[in-house]
Amino acid sequence: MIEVTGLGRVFVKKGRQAKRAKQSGPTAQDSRVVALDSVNLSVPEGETHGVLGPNGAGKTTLVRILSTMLLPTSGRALVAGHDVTTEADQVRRRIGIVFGGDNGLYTRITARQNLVFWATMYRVDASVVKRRSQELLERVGLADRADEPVEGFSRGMRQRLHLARGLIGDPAVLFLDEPTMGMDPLATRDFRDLVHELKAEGRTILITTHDMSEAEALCDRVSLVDHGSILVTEPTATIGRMLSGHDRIDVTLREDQSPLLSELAGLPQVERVDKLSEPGSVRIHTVSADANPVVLRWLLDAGIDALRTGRPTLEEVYVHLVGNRGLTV
Amino acid sequence: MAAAAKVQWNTSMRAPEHMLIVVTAPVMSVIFLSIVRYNDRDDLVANAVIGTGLFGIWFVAVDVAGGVIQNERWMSTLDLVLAAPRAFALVVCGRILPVMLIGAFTLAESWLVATVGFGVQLPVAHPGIALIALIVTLLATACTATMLATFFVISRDTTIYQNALSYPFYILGGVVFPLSVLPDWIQPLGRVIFLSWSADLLRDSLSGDEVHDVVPRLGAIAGLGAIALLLGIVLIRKAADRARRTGMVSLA
Repeated sequence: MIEVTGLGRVFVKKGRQAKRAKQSGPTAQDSRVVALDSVNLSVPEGETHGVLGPNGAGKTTLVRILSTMLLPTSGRALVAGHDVTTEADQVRRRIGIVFGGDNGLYTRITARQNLVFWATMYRVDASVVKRRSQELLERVGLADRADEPVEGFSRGMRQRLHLARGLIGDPAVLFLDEPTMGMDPLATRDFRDLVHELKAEGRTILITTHDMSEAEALCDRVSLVDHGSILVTEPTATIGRMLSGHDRIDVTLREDQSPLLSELAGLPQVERVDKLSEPGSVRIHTVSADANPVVLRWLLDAGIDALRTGRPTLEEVYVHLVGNRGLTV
Repeated sequence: MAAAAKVQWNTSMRAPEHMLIVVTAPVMSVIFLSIVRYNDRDDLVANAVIGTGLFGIWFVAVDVAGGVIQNERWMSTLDLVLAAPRAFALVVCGRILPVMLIGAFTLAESWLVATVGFGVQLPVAHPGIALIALIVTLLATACTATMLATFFVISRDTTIYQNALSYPFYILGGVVFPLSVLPDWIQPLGRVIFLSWSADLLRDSLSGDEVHDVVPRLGAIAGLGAIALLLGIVLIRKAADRARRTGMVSLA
């Protein structure tokens, strides 16, 4: 449903920005910024695909190109079989776009008036505009507030209205750009339930997010993006295998158990032991999956019963690939 | 276009600033009429009244055309509207149309100021022609302001263009004084601005004399408006394509 081949986007700084770039020395190189660099991606019909990456990685640029808001400077992208550059009108009829945050709605008019307007913009047949708007308002839980101005809505309500707006054209492909940004946990949970429903309807969804738990909860596959390139694309369920083919064991030791640590690290079945951020907690990497039962038995015999096993999480893979760069972008 | 008109109407009803011209137009009428009275030129009252009305109509159109783009940018809807299947120019035109009613209201206000405030008798000798000329003028204004919205799409600060696009149209459009008082060499330029035809026809419709060439003059207003709309559709599309190339839709 989405086919991206060698997609690139370079922004050229102009005016003062360019001057500043030239003046700031050799590290600034030139006034060109590579936002996307030869990106290849294939998202089959019905898949929910997550695009993860730090700020400035190129996630939003990718979504903006796929949704025809921005032209690529190289490569090709097809959405629902149509080229985003040469067949933008065809693409626009088949997609829905949902951005995160407060903006993107007409706040002085009501939720229903917003939907009716966008229905017209998406060429929805006049005979179904009213019915579809009502259905969507009910679906996102805004039917009771449908005739109130949007300026009085909470962020969660606005985001649900965003989703309804994105669905008004009954799109085959839905782009969600950091859709739960700034939402509280309950609103996020409701929003994710809605996305699950859309997924069950067979829609193709491309979602960009910083939130690893969101990606794990929603996505069939994820692509990790950094510096405009896709680092890896893997099924969400098995991406942890990139770091380890089998479970690791996390244990928390009491103070009196800390002398056991060196003994534990010396076991032939243990590859290494890493300290975790929680006091007294360590992660045991075993040499093979077969070694796990042996190590677990040893831990229990030693009286260490605060333990859990599991595969590397998406977050660990993300940190491993993108690096722990703190606030640096 | 109708959907966009509804959005604008509902928005304007909740936005007192859109009604500001309704307050300032009578003040402008007082200024123009005082000048006319001071010079003892009651024969120019029609110019003052029609001038204020057209002033208001054009002001509202340019204000809303620029405001629509700026608001779309502030609300982050500009990207979304440009990426929707419908032509953006029609949205802009649709949003300008309902506020034309506010602009037309200033004409009525100006007439009231003249008759009630200054005690001037200003009968409309040809009401049918005046009404049709006014309607065609409102439509042409919306179409022309749509074309001007191109500047607003590619501009980061729409206010500069809003100001710059007002006064040349007032002067070249013969809004307050007839085009014939301008230098000969500039008059042909004024004739490609629909307001000059509108102002002349509206002024003639107030006088008791027979109004000549009504249909061709209405045709000139409508034709210039239609050309502006077509140009607007093409130019806004080009401006949107440029914004897609440069990635500056939200920022311009």
